Amino acid sequence: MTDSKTPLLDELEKGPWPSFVKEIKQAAEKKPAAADLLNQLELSYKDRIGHWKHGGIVGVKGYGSGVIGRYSDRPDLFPNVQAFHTMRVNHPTGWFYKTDALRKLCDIWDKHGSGLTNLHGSTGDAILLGTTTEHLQPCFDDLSEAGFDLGGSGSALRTPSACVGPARCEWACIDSLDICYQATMTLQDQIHRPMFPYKFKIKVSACANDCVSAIARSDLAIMGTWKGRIQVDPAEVRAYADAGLDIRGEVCDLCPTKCMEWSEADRTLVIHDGDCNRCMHCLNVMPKALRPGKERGASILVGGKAPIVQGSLLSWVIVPFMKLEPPYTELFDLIARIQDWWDENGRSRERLGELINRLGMRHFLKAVGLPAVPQMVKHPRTNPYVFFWPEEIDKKEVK
Amino acid sequence: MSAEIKERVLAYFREKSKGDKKMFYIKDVVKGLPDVDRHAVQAAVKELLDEEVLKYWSSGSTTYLMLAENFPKDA
Ligand code: HEM
Ligand code: HEM
Ligand code: SF4
Ligand code: SF4
Repeated sequence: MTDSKTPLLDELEKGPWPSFVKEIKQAAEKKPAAADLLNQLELSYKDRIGHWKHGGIVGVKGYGSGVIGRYSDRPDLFPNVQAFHTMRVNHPTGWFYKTDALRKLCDIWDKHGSGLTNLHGSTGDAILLGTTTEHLQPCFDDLSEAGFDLGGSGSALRTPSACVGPARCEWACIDSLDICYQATMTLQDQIHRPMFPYKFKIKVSACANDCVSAIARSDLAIMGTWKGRIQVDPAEVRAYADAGLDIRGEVCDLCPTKCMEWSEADRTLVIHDGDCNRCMHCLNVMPKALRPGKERGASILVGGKAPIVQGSLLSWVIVPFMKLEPPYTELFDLIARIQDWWDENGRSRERLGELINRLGMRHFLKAVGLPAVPQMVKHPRTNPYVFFWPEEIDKKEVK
Repeated sequence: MSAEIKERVLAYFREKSKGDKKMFYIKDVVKGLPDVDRHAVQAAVKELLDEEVLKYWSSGSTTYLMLAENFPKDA
């Protein structure tokens, strides 16, 4: 037995993998808050309950979000974490930093906070963990000076996020970075001044591989896609076959809509593009041979969320194809109509997807002015019923 | 017009804060002024926030509104 104050946590340093305990101990050499953080966590492991209190404080002047207040419920034992607030810093779109920006961010946090960071939180923001109430405003001022702003928290628009898209990825069908940046700038007030029934998330993936998990995590997902035929380079297809790729087994048989045929005899690949649902599978397997179609745009989806309050939902398509070009007026108009309907009808802490499920797609579609289209059928071939508005039905005489 | 709405929003908070409950959802406030347009109520609330008559209270995931005088001292 050593005289360690954290014998339970020390267990988590064993083994070959990285350990948050090791990291926080390192921070504790400089910061008493980090030491008390560990000590309080040790007590939680012993008591099997959390010792954090929800704060209430929202931070800095003019802002209603971006700071998440946390207090120890045992400040008598752990005075250095009496207040241990989190600051959410709006990350640069696509998480592209220059190293000097990162250093600046860390210097500011060494000056004002515990030095502990979480890059990045699941919302996307750079999370700065642990500071006191007195440091919030000066820290924010230094962040502003360095060109950073706070992100969203609470019942606000959360910091929009996007995949790296065209900056690094050959599959990008849209400029996810620009769309995300424009959303962030256009919707500033919604991010900083919470007025919604609950959180609202916008995420942009430039293709259906969905590297930011927009489908699972955002109320409004923008997903790059194409119209028309997948671009095929037959010579490259044959090169894959020559290199040993089992095109029938690995590509055609795994196509979810079974719209591809590989002929071993004449070594050609046929795609029935009309049935393709642009899932990206074949392009992922044969990137040199197959490229997205030439007419690019995005599908717009709504309704995704994690399990909190009610169960988790995956988002579903409401606009199969939207051409997305700056200044994205059609997109931002649609977002405004959707948010207004949700704000008007949503209950407190009800997410968009839950509201649509409660009131029905037809109410949603009517309110935001979208037509019902086949792509909205959630489980094709299992529920053929569509409930029409009475006035839309042509009355026919039954003979 | 907007001054009158602000006055009524404030009256709502004063009346509702008489009990133990001090924190309210923006939706509660909108419901409390049923004859006023939702956007106008929100605008009035924002002004009162700017004037620090009202304050936000946030758990991190959910945001509430309260009279500044009721905001917890240790927070
Ligand atoms: C021993 C007697 C029967 C057997 C073993 C049998 C078996 C089946 C099977 C395996 C299916 C396909 C289910 C599917 O793929 O989802 C089916 C579908 C069907 N059967 Fe039968 N069946 C029998 C009697 C009947 C009778 C007596 C009727 C009508 C009076 C009937 C009407 C249908 C209909 C309409 C379908 C299509 C249902 C759909 O696709 O929604 N079957 N049956
Ligand atoms: C109150 C009475 C009935 C109810 C509530 C009812 C309900 C249903 C439901 C929910 C389906 C499934 C549709 C789907 O999701 O694919 C179905 C299919 C079907 N029902 Fe009925 N049904 C009733 C009476 C009948 C009767 C009396 C018959 C035949 C004499 C019948 C024949 C069929 C057939 C053939 C299908 C399959 C249709 C298809 O595959 O396209 N049903 N029914
Ligand atoms: S979502 Fe698609 S375009 Fe974006 S980084 Fe991933 S694979 Fe590339
Ligand atoms: S993108 Fe998906 S659905 Fe379309 S052809 Fe390729 S594997 Fe099939």
